[in-house]
Amino acid sequence: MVSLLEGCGLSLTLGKRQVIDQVSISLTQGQLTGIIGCNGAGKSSLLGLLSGYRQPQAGEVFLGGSALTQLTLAERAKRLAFLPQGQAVHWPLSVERVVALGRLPHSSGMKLGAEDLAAVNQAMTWTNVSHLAARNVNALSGGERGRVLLARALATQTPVMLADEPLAGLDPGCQLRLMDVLRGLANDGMSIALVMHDIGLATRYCDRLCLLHQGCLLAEGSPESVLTENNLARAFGIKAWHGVIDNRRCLVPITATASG
Amino acid sequence: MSKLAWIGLGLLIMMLSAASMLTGPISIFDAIADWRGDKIQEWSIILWEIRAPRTVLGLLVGAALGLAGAAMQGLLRNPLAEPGLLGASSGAALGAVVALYSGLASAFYLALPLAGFCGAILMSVIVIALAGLQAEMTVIILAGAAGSALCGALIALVLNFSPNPNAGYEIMFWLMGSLVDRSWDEVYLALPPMAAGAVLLLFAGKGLLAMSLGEETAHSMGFSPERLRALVLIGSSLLVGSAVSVAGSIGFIGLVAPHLMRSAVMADPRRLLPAAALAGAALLLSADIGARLLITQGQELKLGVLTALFGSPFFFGLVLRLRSRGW
Repeated sequence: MVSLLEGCGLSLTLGKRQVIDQVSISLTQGQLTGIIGCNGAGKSSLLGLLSGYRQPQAGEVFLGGSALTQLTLAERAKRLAFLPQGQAVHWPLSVERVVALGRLPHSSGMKLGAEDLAAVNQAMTWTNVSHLAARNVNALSGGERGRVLLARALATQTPVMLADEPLAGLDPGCQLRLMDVLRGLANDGMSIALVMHDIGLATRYCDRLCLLHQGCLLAEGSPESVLTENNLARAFGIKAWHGVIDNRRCLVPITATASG
Repeated sequence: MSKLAWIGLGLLIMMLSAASMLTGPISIFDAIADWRGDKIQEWSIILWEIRAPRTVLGLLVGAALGLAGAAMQGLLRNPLAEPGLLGASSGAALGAVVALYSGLASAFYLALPLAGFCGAILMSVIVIALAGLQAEMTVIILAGAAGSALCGALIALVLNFSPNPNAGYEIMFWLMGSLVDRSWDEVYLALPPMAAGAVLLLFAGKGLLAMSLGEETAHSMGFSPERLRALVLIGSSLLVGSAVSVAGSIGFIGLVAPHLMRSAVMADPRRLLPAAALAGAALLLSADIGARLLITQGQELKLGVLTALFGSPFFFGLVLRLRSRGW
């Protein structure tokens, strides 16, 4: 399988704290990868490194075989979309305008072309925000705003997308529908990495999971191989129920054993 | 903003320019009444040598302040950011005050604006060098505030040491801002740095739009936050420095012009740049016409006084609006 984005031996120190320690990760074409771990495990920092926003103290990131540092920001933007965690929109822009910002890496003028408009409309349909198009994004609920911002990242139509907690604040129906969309995009060849806290959804939808613990990669592989009793206890301090319902893998956290 | 609104704003500026050319102690009617005499010749000199440069300078200074204000607000993602935040206006004021105090201003005609411009650029360089372009914006704002405070203290010091009360008055009046007695020389002096600053800021427009979603997103969309800061900080310093050096300290235009135009451009920071420049030009020219009409004790009202008098109620209104429904 083709590796579209690869981080090799990444380390990051913020202040005096080592937040990422020798982590290697590879995002392959057509796969949905879940990055999981307890609060403060280094998930967002890892995404920051993979997106190129943060510079690693050690290691290197490769995008489509080229070192990220060798590519210009404009070249990266056409191949890699990034949705940071819980971002605010600083001006009262309309929903459509915010989603259209996703086309900035591709367009040079003030007006959107037909291809851009198609991408914007498609992304708004995927995230079910078309009916909000004319609304002020800051007047929406947190969940609606989250969907608009995800639509912005999807409208970029890049082969790789990194999203930091795109499901935060969404109702269960929205979460499932969005995961279906992302699963479908991965099946069509896109490589997607999501930071997520819902290990149940991660089990059901992701091809691979990367479990971070105290800045290190504790386990990586299929959901079954990563979410073992041992790993769940060590990384989260929980016990969980595993099972199959309607031919779908399920995992439900049952008890918290100790602090994760 | 619709095409019609742009045309409307353009027409307003043309009308204000015409009004500015016709406003002054000697009216066009006096000239026409005495068209065979010297009046018409005198009037044409007044028109070309006094009112035309004053009008052009008013438009330039207003546009510079409006544009710089919109860019700073876009960069900081804060509607209360003002163009002089980096210390350029206080640096320009200090430079001009030193020129007035040292007597340089009376020895050489253009020493005052030149010293003002140098002060603005020097202060901006100090602030940017001190904070660094990679620093958080709050660090840069803090450095700007410290620089402005230092300039304020030094201006007060110069006022305290001023040898005669007249020099003190001269300094105080200059600080209040005015376009009285400005000639084409000031226009030629201010135009190149203003044009350079405007070009830099217009280049930053797309990045400022991306910055609406925060630095991380802007970076992922292909815009370097450091490059954007450099463009906006250097561009604004050039604009504000040249504006203050030829017209003195004029507050509120840089704050009010972007506010007035924000809803017209649907809060788009890129479209706001030219819109705020045009609104700034219209506002400053209106204020200057007002200043010419309101003569107090034989002297025109100072521009800075007028912009503050009309600018502050605007902000009180904004406070009331914010209280009821947010911006």
